[in-house]
Amino acid sequence: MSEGERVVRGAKPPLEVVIDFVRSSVGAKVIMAVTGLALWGFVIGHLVGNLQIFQGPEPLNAYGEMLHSLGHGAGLWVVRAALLAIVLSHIFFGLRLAAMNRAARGPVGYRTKQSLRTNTAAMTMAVSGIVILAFIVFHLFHFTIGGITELPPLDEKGRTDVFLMVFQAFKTPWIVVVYVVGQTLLLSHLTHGTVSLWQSLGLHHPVWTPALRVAGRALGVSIFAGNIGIPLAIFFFWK
Amino acid sequence: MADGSPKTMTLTLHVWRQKNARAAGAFQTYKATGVSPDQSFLEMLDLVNEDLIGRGQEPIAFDHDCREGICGMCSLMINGEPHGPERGTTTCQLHMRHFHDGDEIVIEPWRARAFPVVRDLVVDRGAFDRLIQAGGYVSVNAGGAPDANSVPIPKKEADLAMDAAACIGCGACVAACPNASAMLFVGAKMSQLRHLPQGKPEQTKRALNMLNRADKEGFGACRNHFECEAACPKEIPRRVMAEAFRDYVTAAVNRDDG
Repeated sequence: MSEGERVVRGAKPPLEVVIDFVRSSVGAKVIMAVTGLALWGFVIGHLVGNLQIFQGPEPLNAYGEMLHSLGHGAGLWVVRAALLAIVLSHIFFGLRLAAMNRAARGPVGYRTKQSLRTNTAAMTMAVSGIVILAFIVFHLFHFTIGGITELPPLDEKGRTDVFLMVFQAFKTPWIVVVYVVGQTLLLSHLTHGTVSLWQSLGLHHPVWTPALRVAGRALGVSIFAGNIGIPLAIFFFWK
Repeated sequence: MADGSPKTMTLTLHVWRQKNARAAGAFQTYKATGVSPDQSFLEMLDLVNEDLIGRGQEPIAFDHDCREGICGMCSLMINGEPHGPERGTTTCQLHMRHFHDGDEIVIEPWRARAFPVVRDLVVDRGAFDRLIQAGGYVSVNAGGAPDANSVPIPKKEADLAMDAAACIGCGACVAACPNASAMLFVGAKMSQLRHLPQGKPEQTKRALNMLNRADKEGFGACRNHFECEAACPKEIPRRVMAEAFRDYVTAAVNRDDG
């Protein structure tokens, strides 16, 4: 880079620019929005994959095998590592913003404070986020790592019997309750997230913003319905 | 009073009293009697203060100046709402006809780390001045008033700038925000300049300087509750905040830090 260009484009070295951005409150917001958007994508993909349970054992177990064999087995770990990084950033910057905001009110709070435009979902993002984190940890131990319920043997083709594993699990009432509670909190989290993320990215439009809000809420409810549909259908209707 | 005039009201006020910035404050209860529905909220407080002075007590300190809704000095949290229950109205333009005889009213100062209480209901909003110093200006010699329409500006852009310029800097946005964020104020001060040719050259640098300053002043981070938009007496739209985020990201990407 020539000296002239440095003067025009700014004096700070790139690394410093990145560090300043990440440390700023707007930078934290943008990271929340980008990681949140990526997690929306994951939640949708996760549900679409899982809905194959309604097609029976063969498609679901084949799908599980396909995920495990992506890139000779490396693909799944790449995706897992990326997801872990995204989730950890979302948590770290979320907590950072929460701490910043708690301090910002000052030493004395309000005796009376009315909410004029916000909603419960928006006011409880930190709480719903922490419960969702606990749910994710539970879910990983439940179906991926093992240790909560007994995992079934491999199916007749030597694959993980995903179908039987899920089927057996959701015949247990307390597990169904845990999943329904976890998904309810996820719905709450997504309800504010869908409105918040576009604004944080600086996207505001008289037509597209309300349209995105409606679409995001509808998508959130669909995700909720799909996700609780699996345990509820198994518990109440499957023999 | 003439026939047909509404009766006067008696109100119970719970008012935050604090001697100075370092003293601990507490709520004190006062009876406001003979309040006319035609009085403004500040005139009602004047009435209470006259009574306090008459009895040899310290009057309630509160900020006020023009009493016409344009200066941005009045600043009371009334029953949990900045500037009280009327939307798009400053405290000085709020009339007692919106209350009822026998009502209890809680009156508090703006609560924010960046707005320390000076005395009673008066807070120091100097942080807003420092935000303006950080970037709420254009670095051109404006000279005398230019001829009207010598710089043509499309109507739509002029309207966007004017809507933002309605901000009177009262701080209701900070008071209303669950996170005491100054985003609506900063967004308004940026937006009134970014839509006009004089403000364009420093558009993104301004975002960087003002928003970094807001972090330093101890304002919270915006989490998109939009309480500010509802509380703003000038009804500044959330659009100005989206513009501010966009400009900030653009500035960071382009390294407009000079």
